[in-house]
Amino acid sequence: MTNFLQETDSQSWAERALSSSLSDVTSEKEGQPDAFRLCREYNLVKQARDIIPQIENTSVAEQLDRLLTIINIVIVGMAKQEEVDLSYIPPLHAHIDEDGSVLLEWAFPDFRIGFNIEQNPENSGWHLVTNKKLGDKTESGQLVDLVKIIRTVTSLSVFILSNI
Amino acid sequence: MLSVNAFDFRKDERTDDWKEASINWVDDEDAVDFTFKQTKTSGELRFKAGIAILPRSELDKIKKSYKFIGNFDYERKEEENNKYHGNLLLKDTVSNPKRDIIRALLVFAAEIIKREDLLTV
Repeated sequence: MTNFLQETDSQSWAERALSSSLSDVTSEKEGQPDAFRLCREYNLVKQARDIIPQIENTSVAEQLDRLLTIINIVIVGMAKQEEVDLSYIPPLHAHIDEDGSVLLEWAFPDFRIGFNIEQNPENSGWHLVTNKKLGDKTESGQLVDLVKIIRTVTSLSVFILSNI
Repeated sequence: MLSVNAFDFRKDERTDDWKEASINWVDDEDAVDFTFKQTKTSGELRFKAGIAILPRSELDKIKKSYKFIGNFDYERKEEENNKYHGNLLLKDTVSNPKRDIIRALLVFAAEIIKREDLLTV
């Protein structure tokens, strides 16, 4: 089975972009870098971000917040680099489940990307499902540590920009 | 575009180890029309925007896939006012990520019929 989530130069690009955005800013609390708060919001993540105040579990809210920021930086940056019109990329939608977890859904005509944000971060994960046209593939993985999340989002972004 | 949330698996009154999502089986040519006319207890139309039709062959593909064996099934369960009624079934113990992969597969298996496409002049 073809592994279409392949590491590319875009991965190191994304890591450099995120590192440089983290380098200049410190938050008021704890002195940790907090560049996430300065990112410009695009319509891609707005609906999903607007749901955060409704999330009861702090861990879920924080994970979602961080993930949306990473997605925003990576996909917007890559789209600009590849000169892809952002209007071709649909917005993400977040849905709060009965058990307090969140499904972040990204719906494209030929594939769906989903992120499950669970109360225990070790159970949070992502999945990609494609239709017949793209080979009826399913792939999935965890969303555990920051570096892996960045790499996953980068790989997914490469896939998105190759298939829209 | 159809959201995976259109397939809402719930425990409801089941006492076995499955959750269910309500469906109607297309047994005859009247089933689609019947479904479009279904109403909630409030009298409001149940499916205002449209319906999704899932070929049974696609359901069987998911059911028999090595990734989902024992986790997904379907049943027929007639109700007093609905001879077409049945359920898609999801095992209680299925994780949210696996559930949503199955739901995404259902989305891609579905043919959407919009209510506005039914209107004739």
